[in-house]
Amino acid sequence: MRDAHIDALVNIVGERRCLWNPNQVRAYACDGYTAESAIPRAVVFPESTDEVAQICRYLYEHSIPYLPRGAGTGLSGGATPTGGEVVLSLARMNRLLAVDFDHLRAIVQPGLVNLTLTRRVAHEDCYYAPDPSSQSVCTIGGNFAENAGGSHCLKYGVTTNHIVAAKVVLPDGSVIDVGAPFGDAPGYDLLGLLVGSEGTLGIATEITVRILKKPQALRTALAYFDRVADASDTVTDIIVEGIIPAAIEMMDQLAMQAVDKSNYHVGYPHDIEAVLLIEVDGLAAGVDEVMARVVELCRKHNVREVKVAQSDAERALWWSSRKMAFGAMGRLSPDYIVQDGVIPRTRLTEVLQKIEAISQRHGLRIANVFHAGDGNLHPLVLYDSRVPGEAERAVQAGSEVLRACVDAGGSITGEHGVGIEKIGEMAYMFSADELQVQRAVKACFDAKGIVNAGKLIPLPGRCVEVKHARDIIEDHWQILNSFPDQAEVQVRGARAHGAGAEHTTSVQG
Amino acid sequence: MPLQSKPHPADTAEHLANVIGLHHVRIVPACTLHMHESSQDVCLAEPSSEEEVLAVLAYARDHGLSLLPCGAGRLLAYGPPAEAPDIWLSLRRMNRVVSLSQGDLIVSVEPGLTMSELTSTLTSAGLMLPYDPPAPADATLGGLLSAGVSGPRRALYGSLRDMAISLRVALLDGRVIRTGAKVVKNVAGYDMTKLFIGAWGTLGVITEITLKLRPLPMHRETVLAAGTLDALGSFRERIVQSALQPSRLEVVWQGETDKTQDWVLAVDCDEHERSAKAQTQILESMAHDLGLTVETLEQHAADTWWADHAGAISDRMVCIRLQGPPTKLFSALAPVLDTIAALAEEPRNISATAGGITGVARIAFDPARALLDDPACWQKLRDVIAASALEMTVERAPTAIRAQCTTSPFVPGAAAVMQRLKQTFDPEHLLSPGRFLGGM
Repeated sequence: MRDAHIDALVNIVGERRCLWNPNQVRAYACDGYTAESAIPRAVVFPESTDEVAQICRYLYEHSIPYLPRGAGTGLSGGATPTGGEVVLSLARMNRLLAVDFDHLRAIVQPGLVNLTLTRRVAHEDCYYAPDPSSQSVCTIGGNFAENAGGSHCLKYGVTTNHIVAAKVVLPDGSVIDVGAPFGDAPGYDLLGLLVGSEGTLGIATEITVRILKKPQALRTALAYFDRVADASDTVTDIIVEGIIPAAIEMMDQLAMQAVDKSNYHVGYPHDIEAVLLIEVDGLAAGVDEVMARVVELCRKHNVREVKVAQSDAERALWWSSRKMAFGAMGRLSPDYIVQDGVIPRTRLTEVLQKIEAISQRHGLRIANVFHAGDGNLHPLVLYDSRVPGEAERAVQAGSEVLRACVDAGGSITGEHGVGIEKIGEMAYMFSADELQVQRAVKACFDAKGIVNAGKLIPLPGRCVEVKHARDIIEDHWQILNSFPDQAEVQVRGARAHGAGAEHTTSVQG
Repeated sequence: MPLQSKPHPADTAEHLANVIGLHHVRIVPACTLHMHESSQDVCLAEPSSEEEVLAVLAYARDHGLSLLPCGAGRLLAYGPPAEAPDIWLSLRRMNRVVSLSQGDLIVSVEPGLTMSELTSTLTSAGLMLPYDPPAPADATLGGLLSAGVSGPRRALYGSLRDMAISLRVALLDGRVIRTGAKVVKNVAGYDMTKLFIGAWGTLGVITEITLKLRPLPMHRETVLAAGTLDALGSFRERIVQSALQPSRLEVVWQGETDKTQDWVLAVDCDEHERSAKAQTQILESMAHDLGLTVETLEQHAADTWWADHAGAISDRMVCIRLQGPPTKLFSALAPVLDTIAALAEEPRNISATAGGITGVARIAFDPARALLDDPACWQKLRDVIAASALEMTVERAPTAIRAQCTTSPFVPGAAAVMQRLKQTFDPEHLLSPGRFLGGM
């Protein structure tokens, strides 16, 4: 509804760059995580740091909740309104402000698309390393907020390793510079905190990134394994051997079936359990030798077939097949949930077995597509929302997968972020103290707690309930042991709904 | 609340001795722990575990005692001069390797472990932490992390902020938090690890550090090209614009050699042998084009050269760090060195190195008497550096010099956030008081 606040926003950016009509803002009701959505109060499209600062200052002064948004390709609901917020879309701030090829730095606006940056510096044989699968549409600002990863993190790191400085608009509208293009900035590492803060601490409006020279040569291999365990052992062995490939990706049979039905048909055998996509890069003089060693290690672990790409086209097909895996799931199932757990790489086989057990227990297929070198799993839980109860079971299965990752010493998210989706699992990974400290850090930036509120860090009430439910289970484990699954369900219920008493009492009962 | 007087150091020592053992608590003049400290008595406590650290923190909190967490004390000549703390919390005894996973390329260590202790453990497992700080080999990981310094290897591998993935931190209020996760990729919650890197122990006491590792390169090869600074600048540019993969790229002042070729550009390569040889060949032909003379060191000889290089920087009393685009750094080196020659006790003993990729330069020297006595001398250096549009940090210096460098380098907005962070973690300002930049 148009009100005085909308008028004030229009005053800053003009009629054309402020949407408030419910029909227009509906497109901003969620991001790539579609399970939850809510209509924002308005969507504004600033074009400069100054406009962002003016908007933030106004909204903060009037205690109007707001959140930033890039391309909206996030997979955890980080850019999804919870209802009535003003969305700051940074899509129009999409300029490449400066490139310094001599020192390998670029300054970009947050709305610049990830792959566009790589294309714009390609003529000097440079590229921007972090490459999430959505790189052709996602923005660097979104990558900044989510600390996005990609397929080549194993050797080249994630977004935080490539951002060296930024101009940031703080929640109250003040503008600060953080980081340093070279060396280290004095004082606390505010840049380090801001990257991956999911838009809860501030909005980066100018981002200085490192760009890299393209490696002289690449070799890519595809290896088929009869058994997942052999593929996992190969991954570990390659690394123990002292080789850090640019990427090691794995897909299981279900994922292979999906991608082979898509536009990128590779023709994977139907009776293998796992395929590895391994890429090594470096100086031309050395890559063949390294690749030969990788092939040898695959053979040592009973590979059925291993082939090295003979052309760029072949390499591109293999990569497309891998990068389009999520989308291809539509060929197998009407709906899916993608998870993003991380485990120590050496425990891959064990955790994959647990995932298989979870799949069987819930009667849902789980496809596995993941960055094996990083131990970053992307289990895709397939379900059909038209079947009553199946969506709920899929959410449960996904949550159990994440718990299996945490239990193995890992994390609930490696690159997709917590957002709304995994906020319940935060209390499983962190203690109440640890969450409280993170909330205190948030308050140092955003005392009113209105910037992208309800994301990333759960509110205290919610964790208390989870802990409470867990304590009850621990106190009554003898009784509950006879029906562990129900107990699990109750805990998740408490977490998912944030409801207290009746859930916990029913556990007790 | 009634004003309490602080307990006498002897009472503090007696209490702490009950908790962490008689042999690990002493009363000593601060200057015996670090040459730049005052002669005031402090209570030196050397806990051996996180529980003992918490016990010391609890006592300090309850009695309003200031604390200085430190390792070997190798990096302490930094920041504004401050009063001696009530409790000197040495973490040197917490020097265990907690866990090491070869397959995961991850190690967890206690903060008092030194670089050389870690290196020997890792080397025997065929691993390395690709980190070569400009500090003595007995500097501790906790100290290095808190100082946030980095060395030449940053060119390829980044700094500790790229390697540290998880910490355990004992907070003043008695809580222990874990930050991050012991896996190489993790975006759950805020990246709290970063907050404690370079925080100089002002927010909490780090009790465990988890680091990402790399396989130990089987082959090491360093090309040294000697020539004029201009020619080396062109060489640097060609290297950066090529697809070569230097793991370190530093231009280094060779004070004592012949005046015409007083600099070398050192290009290190961690690739395996065949690639390294190919890289060396390309470098040699580039160097010959530019009329530079080239020498190549391999394996142990290369390691020794880099170790000597780090030693030359960490041995001097004063070390200043300059930051900026490498081309600017290179062109500022000559005027900066000229100015420093007038400030140094022995110009021949000046060490200087500038990263051709990192954009970080360090110049180390022993100060002349005049520099300590006359602030105007220092101002001259600052003017020269300001004219080059570079940022300067005094990483190490006697108190007299540090006292001249107390202006806050922060812009107001950022300073406010930093002060709120400090207030959140240490509301009574007991942790390393006054030692952080700007006297925070």
